[in-house]
Amino acid sequence: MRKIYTAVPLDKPSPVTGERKEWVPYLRVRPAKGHTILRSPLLAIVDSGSWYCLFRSDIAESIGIRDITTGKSGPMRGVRKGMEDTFYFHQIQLYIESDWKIDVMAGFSPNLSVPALLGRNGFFDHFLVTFDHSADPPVIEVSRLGRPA
Amino acid sequence: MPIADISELIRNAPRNCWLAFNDEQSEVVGYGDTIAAAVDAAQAKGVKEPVLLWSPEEWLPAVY
Repeated sequence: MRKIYTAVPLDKPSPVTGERKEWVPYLRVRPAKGHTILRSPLLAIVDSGSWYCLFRSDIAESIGIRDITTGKSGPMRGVRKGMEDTFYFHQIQLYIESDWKIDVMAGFSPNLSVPALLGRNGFFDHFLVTFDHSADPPVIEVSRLGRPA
Repeated sequence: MPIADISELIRNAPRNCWLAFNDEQSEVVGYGDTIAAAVDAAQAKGVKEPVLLWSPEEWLPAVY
């Protein structure tokens, strides 16, 4: 699957490009827990910098996980000193675009500033991903790995 | 194929809430504090399965 990035606004011009928008590699995903699937797809960022697949906690509530703290917990650090948060992990299913379904151990937190990140453990171990920034706009290519997850 | 550049579409959209788009991503068809509220608003406009995006308080460059 090949998909053009999605451009979102910047409130202040980028100090690097000077533009008032940024291109972001989003995929449409639908998290599910058992028979409860999110009512609509959401835009999740493909993020090779994230160790795990992470979601806002209101998404957990929407798929029937009423108390995220029942999951295994673990602290996670951001890039800035002092940025640390606890995520609670639950086994979920993830429907990706109209193509794939995978099982993912996903972390949830109410403090995530984006809806969802598709990280290395859980997403990148299922797919070969190419970020092509030589194209304008940039393009993401995703193909399912043949080996068992 | 969905519209890729939605920057101007959502620049002045409500913040700190879920936005719901039509499938072409050409229109914000609903928004709400919760996923359910955003989807309900979209469905009231006839969009059965809107595409959801969290609209932050500020759109800033980010490292996650």
